[in-house]
Amino acid sequence: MENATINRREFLRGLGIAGAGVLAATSPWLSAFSEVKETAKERCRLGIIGPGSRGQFLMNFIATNPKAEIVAIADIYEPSINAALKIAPDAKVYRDYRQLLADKNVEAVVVATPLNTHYGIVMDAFDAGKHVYCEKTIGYTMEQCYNMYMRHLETGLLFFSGQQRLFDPRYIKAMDMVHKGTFGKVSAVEAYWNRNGDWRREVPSPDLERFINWRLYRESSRGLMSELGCHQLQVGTWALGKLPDRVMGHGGITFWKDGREVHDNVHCIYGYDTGETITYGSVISNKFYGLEEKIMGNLGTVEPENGKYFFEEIAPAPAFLQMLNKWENDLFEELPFAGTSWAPETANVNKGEFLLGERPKADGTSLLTEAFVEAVITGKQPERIAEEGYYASLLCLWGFEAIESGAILPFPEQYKIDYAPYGTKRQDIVS
Amino acid sequence: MSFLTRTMPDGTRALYEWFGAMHTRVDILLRSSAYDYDYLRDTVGIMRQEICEIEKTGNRFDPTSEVSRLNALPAGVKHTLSPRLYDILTLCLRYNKQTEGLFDITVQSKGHSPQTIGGIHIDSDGTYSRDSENIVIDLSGFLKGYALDRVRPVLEERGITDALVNMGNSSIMAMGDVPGPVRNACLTTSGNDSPDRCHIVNPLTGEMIRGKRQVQVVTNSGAEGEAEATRRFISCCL
Ligand SMILES: NC(=O)c1ccc[n+]([C@@H]2O[C@H](COP(=O)([O-])OP(=O)(O)OC[C@H]3O[C@@H](n4cnc5c(N)ncnc54)[C@H](O)[C@@H]3O)[C@@H](O)[C@H]2O)c1
Repeated sequence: MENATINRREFLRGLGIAGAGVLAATSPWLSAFSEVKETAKERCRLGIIGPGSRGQFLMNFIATNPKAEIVAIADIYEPSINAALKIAPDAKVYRDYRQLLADKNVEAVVVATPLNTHYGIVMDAFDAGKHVYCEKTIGYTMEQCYNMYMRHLETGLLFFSGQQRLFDPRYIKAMDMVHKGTFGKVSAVEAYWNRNGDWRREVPSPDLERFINWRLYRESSRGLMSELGCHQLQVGTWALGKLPDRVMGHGGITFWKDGREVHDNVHCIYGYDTGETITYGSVISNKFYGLEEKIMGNLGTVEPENGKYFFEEIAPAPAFLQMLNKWENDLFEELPFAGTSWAPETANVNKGEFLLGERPKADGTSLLTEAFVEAVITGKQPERIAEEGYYASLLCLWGFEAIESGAILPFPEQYKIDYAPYGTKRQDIVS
Repeated sequence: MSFLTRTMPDGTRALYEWFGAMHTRVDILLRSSAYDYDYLRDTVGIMRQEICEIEKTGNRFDPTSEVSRLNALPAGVKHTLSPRLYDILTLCLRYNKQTEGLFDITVQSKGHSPQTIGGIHIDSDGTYSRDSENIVIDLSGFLKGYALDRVRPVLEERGITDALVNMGNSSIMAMGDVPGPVRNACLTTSGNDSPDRCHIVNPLTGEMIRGKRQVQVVTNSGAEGEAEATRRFISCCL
């Protein structure tokens, strides 16, 4: 459908690049879109396992994608099934995911069940020969994540995880700039996600408490680390281009003492032998600073979530920025720079610049699902996407263990995979 | 140094780099399809060094600059000028004549008169001396345009044909194919950008020129642009 192509084109234009290939070094998974034209007439057949809140969100995108058909859903909770059928009325309904996996009509599955169930479902899916998109965090333990990743390699089946920032134009643009050295040497990434709320879902009857509010209980969740930290830690390693060497952490239940078992505030420091740090903090009894990943270089700061960047010294001149941004279309309004001399005293406060011309309306989820659909059709695993998902999961679970043990934990060597780090300073990644 | 890049669909690269110098900001845009960003950034690095050396020589507010040494020199004592300052001062004296005294680098001197500048002597052996210790050389209305003339050969030597160099908005040079207010020329603005700002003195009367007013001139040379813009600003206010 015209819509989807327009989105992708607009997305690339918004980044100010000619095509996805241009960003290959900083976001190699965008290669997922390289054969879009050849696949125009094909469709893939997907099954959704666990169409709860996230699963339905994903289904909404997939349902409007002309290249995808949701042929089956599997869930164990009637309200989820009913809601999912509103999005995909023709989908076959299974009450046991194993039946869905046995359905020959299903080529690939989207797994959006609670954390503790991912492992069994994903391993079974690989065994059944299905391509897998699994929501983050991919596994409940580091070992599970490792086994899942290895199984993906052994089977050669696709493995995506729900790290939508990988496809968020703000992040892609920010990382391109970071890797080009625009902000100088990055010493630290300060990531945080703060909210003020109990993180609970409404429960129709008390016996469903642990089933519905699975996030709050230790048997099914790693709390804020697995549910929020996973996204932001990946941003840290994406920016720094390498994996940390150690982690320490602390957490507690300080405000929401309502019977939950997972911490309502967590903090971790991830350290590098070379000195850099990624800090991660999440508090759910104060929302003032919201969420951000502050990427801090000696020349400037990027806040991809906010969509802005700031230079340490002098801000770029608006007329020159306009030239850079509009050169392509030769659309120069009056360039407001000729005049009497600019003096530092008259410089404005540092309000920063927008990463993209206008604030994007959506995060990368729609493109992430599109990329999965493309990959299922072509059968090609885009570079690094499984690895990014794997390490994002590993980092949050490793931090969780540091919080649990109170110890400084070295990087778990046994879970290292073959993963070439990004160049932290790529000069001309275009050529 | 801060920079941003943009690669056009046809592969052309644009590098925008900026920094503070000469008590203002310098914005440089280079466009090239032949050179990579490293090369373009190195080019800006050389341009910046040139600009900083000009400032280091000619900033009278820097007590270690060569021009500060001249402003502290006992009357009649000779100072051997660096080639750079020799070049700057001989140009300024020439522009003083060409503008019939309206462009005057000694206007900040104590008890200034149109004759003050005649108390400066530059010998053919490259030495400087002055008749009076009241003479103050102030190059702030000249260095930006002069810097444009000095960075142009850097660009030419390095094969960059398309460039825009903006020295604090008042002195702008455009070369080749770049969007800008002029083409293959320098645009110099002189004046007051607000009713209460006045910083230009009429050397013939010693009066500050008031009022929001500005003039712009287009010249080949940035240095000439400074002298000519000053001349026109003062003469149009007479
Ligand atoms: N990428 C993101 O930004 C993002 C956002 C929200 C949630 N998530 C992830 O999505 C996953 C689901 O979260 P959610 O908020 O949608 O949870 P949810 O509780 O709303 O949905 C989970 C669904 O799975 C079903 N389910 C549970 N066990 C099952 C089983 N054995 N077989 C089949 N279905 C089963 C439940 O009935 C429910 O419908 C989690 O891993 C979460 O971390 C990711």
